[in-house]
Amino acid sequence: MKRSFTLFTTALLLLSLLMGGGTASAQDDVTLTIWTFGAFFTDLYVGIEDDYKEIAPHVTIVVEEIPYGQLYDNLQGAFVAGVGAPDIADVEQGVISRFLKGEPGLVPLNDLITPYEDDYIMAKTALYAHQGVIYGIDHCLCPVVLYYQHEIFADAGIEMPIATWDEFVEASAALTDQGIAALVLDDRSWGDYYMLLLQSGSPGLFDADGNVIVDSPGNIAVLEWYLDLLESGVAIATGDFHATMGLFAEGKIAAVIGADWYAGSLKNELAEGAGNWRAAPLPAFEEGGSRTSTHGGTAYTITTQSEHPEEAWAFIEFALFNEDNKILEYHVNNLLPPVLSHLDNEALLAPDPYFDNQSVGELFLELAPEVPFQERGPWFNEATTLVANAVFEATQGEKTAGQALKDAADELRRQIDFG
Amino acid sequence: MSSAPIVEERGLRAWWSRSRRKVVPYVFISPFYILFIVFSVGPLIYALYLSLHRWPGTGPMRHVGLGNYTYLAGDPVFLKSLWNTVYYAIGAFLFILPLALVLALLINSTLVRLKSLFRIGYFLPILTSTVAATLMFLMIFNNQFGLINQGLALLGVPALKWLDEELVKISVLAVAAWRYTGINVLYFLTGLQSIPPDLYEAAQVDGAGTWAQFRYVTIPQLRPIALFVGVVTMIGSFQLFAEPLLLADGGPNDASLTIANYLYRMGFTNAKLGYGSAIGWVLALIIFCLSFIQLYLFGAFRKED
Repeated sequence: MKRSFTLFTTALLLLSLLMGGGTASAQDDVTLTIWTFGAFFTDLYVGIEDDYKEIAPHVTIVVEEIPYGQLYDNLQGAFVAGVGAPDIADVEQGVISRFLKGEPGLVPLNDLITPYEDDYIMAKTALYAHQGVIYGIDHCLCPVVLYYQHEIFADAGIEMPIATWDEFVEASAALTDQGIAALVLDDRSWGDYYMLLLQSGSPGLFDADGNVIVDSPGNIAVLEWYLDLLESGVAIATGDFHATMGLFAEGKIAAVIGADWYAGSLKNELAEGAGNWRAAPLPAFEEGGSRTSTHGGTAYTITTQSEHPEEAWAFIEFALFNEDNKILEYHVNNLLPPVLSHLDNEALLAPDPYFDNQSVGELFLELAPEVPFQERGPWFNEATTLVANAVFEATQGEKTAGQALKDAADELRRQIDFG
Repeated sequence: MSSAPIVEERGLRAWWSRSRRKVVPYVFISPFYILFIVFSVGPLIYALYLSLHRWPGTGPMRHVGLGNYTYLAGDPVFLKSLWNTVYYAIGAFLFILPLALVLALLINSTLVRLKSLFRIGYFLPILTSTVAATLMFLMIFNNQFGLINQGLALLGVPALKWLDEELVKISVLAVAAWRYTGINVLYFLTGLQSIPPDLYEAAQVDGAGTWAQFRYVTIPQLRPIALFVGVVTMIGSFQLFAEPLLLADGGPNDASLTIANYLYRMGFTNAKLGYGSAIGWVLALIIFCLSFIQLYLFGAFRKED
């Protein structure tokens, strides 16, 4: 009995070795694993899978959708362990900085994106770069515009669009008198402040050499101006997204600054508001100044553990630079392609009934070259936590804008020195 | 030449037949110990090693001795998270446990009918997903449209900002109370039902009233279960993680951040594995010391007469 069991086990082992050897010998067959975090990306991959199979029949795409947060903890675990990472990972811009510390487990993509640098909007690689090395290529452009309820402005006799923020504030007095806030801003996060900071011409929270500029005079001036908007009643802080949507529905807030994807949020949450909305360039800080910013993004990255980095890049190229695929992606997740030659696609330029039949795509096409560059790097997570607290302290009146940002900058420098 | 292995085999067999009865039980219980060593003791020791280094998870480690611990002692965010955690623990002892005891006494009394209905009621929160429950509370506490503020408005009371710096810890405690009161009711109920009825009968014969029975029979008899509930509550409070994270992301301005939240932020979000490990070890030491003090105060180390 014992002998027959040993023979059976040995035969099984041999068989499995032979089968394993068989797979390895078929060198052309490649399986690419992609980790992503939402149906809005999974649906894209599933949608283009068959077309890619025709181009590269030897490549099989396996998409693993993992909840946001867990995906990045898993990815970090795989980098620490040295095994288990996928070939391609969708890394959201808000979490990339942790993967830029130490020896990044991501493949440098500079040489691969260089041939596209005239067509791809390179500002969208800056979010995922450190010391000149690009580790991620964004799915989307995420340009920021002013979404506004046009009837509210028209009823108050305000003609949109407005060229500068000073003029916007001045015109908004007519709304403030009626108890309507012209704009909604976040008082407990860094997002809205950061969008406006980038629009003002600041590279963000770090300069090109990686020095902390959280408390630079320019950054302090933008926060002081931000506080003025809130104190004057031109802008209101609601504290949360659903409260904002409720106040939009009641007509208590007239406008919001948001990226391309925010249009999707409006359509989902305020479907009954169809036709009431339009989009305009952001008013500039000064005449002729920048009229947009950027907010959000998710990058294609290739991990250093991938055994097929060339095939992984070939798939990314197909997903990112094939116009049909990017239009499909736009319909799935409302994310505009960061590729100039795609932005004049008819599907993107079509009049949008939700926006009073305005061609919002034309606006994005016009603003795309103005999407600002920014400096981030491995300490961006720490910086945004501290800046969010600084914005909160300043809006609550606990500190002046200058003091709040100076304290945040000092603490950030202390954390960076600590390592 | 060939006799040596045979002798050895015989020796091994002889040893096995001699020791089998002693060894086999250990083999049967070994899965637990193997798993415990691999998944608990091993990581614990590795975390101690990591806590003496700075390491983002890739690249070389930098040995810093006790540097992470000395930095921790002066880290304002850690100290804030420590205070927040202590606040939650005190809140649990002053609010959740007394509430659980009162509910257990009521359910155990003859006054209450439909006890099985109550049993479902107090056990349901434990079975509900923390994420789902906390998201529900997020809507209840909404400053503008929340159920509580709508109720207050009906009474003419101005809306309160439940998720702002001043009140967010109370909101977290309310979620914790909803979630953990029931399970503590269950513990206390078990303790109450294990008190022999003849003790009460004897007390009644001696002329003891309801209060005297509670004071001199119920409370002393509940001591072992109260000790257990106390230790579990303290450990649970110090490990509080999901509720403050989902309700306010530890904010605003770190006002609801717990030590466990800060550990996650440092270890994972900021990829400071060494510093995160140091926070973990300090948290473990705090829990160990407080549990020891609790056990000592409840007389767990006293020899029975």
